[in-house]
Amino acid sequence: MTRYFNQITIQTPESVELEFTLAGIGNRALALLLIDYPLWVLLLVMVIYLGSLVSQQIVDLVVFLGGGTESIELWLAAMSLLLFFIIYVGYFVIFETLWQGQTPGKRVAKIRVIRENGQPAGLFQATLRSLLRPIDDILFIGFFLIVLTPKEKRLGDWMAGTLIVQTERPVVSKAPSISQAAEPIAEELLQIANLSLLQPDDLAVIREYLQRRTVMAPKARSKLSLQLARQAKTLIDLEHLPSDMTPDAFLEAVYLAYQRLGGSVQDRD
Amino acid sequence: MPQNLNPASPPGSFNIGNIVSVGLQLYRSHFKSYFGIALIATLWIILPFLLSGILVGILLATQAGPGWYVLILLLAIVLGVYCSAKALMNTALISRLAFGELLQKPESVRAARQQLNHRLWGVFWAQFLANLILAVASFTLSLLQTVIFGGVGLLFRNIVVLYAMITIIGNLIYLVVYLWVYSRFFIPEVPIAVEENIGAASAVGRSWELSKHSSGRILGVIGVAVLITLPFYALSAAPMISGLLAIAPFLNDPDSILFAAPNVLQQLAIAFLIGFLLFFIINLVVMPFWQTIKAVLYYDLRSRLEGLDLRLRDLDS
Repeated sequence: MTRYFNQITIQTPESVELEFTLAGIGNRALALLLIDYPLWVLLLVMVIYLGSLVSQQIVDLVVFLGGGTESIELWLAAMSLLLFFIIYVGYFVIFETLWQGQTPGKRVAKIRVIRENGQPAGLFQATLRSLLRPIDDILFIGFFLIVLTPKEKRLGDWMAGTLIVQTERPVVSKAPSISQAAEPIAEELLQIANLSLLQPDDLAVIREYLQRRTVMAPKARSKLSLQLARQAKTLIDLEHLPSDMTPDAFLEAVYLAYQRLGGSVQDRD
Repeated sequence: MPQNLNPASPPGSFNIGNIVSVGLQLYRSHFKSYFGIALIATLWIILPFLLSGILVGILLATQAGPGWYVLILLLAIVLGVYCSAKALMNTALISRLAFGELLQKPESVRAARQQLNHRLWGVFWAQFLANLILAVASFTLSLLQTVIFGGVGLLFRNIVVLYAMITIIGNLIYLVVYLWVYSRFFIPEVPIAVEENIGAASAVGRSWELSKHSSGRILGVIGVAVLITLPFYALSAAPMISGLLAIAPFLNDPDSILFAAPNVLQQLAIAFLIGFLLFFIINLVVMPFWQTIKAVLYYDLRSRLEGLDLRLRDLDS
């Protein structure tokens, strides 16, 4: 399904080619609008509330000590403005620097900020991106740039030289659970069928089915397993089944037998 | 909650953000044909209003008796039903075409339209049924909310904070349950447009079954898609807002408007008209986006639940 996403290839100084899938507007909108901005507003509200409590105490204290309130109020206003700015910019800077280019929203959406050379984004990049964020938000400039440009860069990304990419899916090469009944059938298949006709891609589909079948709807699952078993039977050039068996048992046996054949099973996750 | 929002997806399925991105990408790469279909759908919606307007105009001009008006009303209803069926069929057509692209078995618009012409009333009744269910759910929920939370609220009506909290909780529960029902009946027109030999009722059932365990993700997709279309809708609000800003100085003393700037009201009316037109056009542009998203969602749900993406090589073909 990668053909629906913008891809980018980065060549490292060591001439290693790295391929990345760009994040896409959906993931970026999910991260920013549904998670980061709400969190960030919550944080700001909390800080403003706490700040007003504390400054009231300070003013009271100063009055108690016999000082004037005017200059202290000015100071407090300046400090709260500074604090506001620190959180406004800091939320994204701190998270993107410490979490290797991810904010809470980006974690959920499984995307991260990287530099154009493939290295993780640092403090400098995160700060530039964050400082330009307000400009990108005005009139939705950033939104239109992300949707319309091939590298999906908003102004902040241009300035900082960053890309937003999808994080690689962790490799789940959990072996599918195989029932006892499949063992003898696998042995038999090795004798009577030509399993070497099976290609790694075919096996990947069978393995995928064996892994995912438990969460499938029963009716659709039995239809699918029958169809896959029939196709697999043709593929391995098997005229008749050695005995009566369920499609699932047959597919399990094909999977087992192929592995015993010494065919290298590549993980395609 | 956030951890479960985007669980690791099997290859044939997408996470929330990617469903929206792929939907947008499909629309962009087929903009001409999908937008054209949306235009046809919109014309079908306008048609009954236009025709009834013309007929009423004729009647007014000829000073016909009241019997004629009743006849025209009946005619308008029949026409309205037929035209909305046509419009709905066209929206479903976009989903069918997009789904074909996802399967890597693209169809021509003409071939797909021919298929769907046979299912005109199926699409209509599926949508009708799904909307009826939503309406009944909404009615039942507000009734329950009024009876249960209204009753409990009355008990505590003297304690303002508690009363307010009970009301808020009641509204929240209403919202959550309604959204859940909404997500379960979100794609009834896609199965009927795509699958063979399926009736309206079973199409609605398919939407219900496929969305089992996925309503959170579906609502996430809807949320992201709404947020993405917001910039466009903001565009349509711009003329109205600028119009309102223009009369803002006069709001303290309404009579002064006519005195100071007699043509301000006229300009305001024009601004609203432009805004309304823009809103209409934006709706037209955004509609195929929703239909492609529904197609991607349907593909994703079927991959998860039915292994749609798992196909072996067919030696025969």
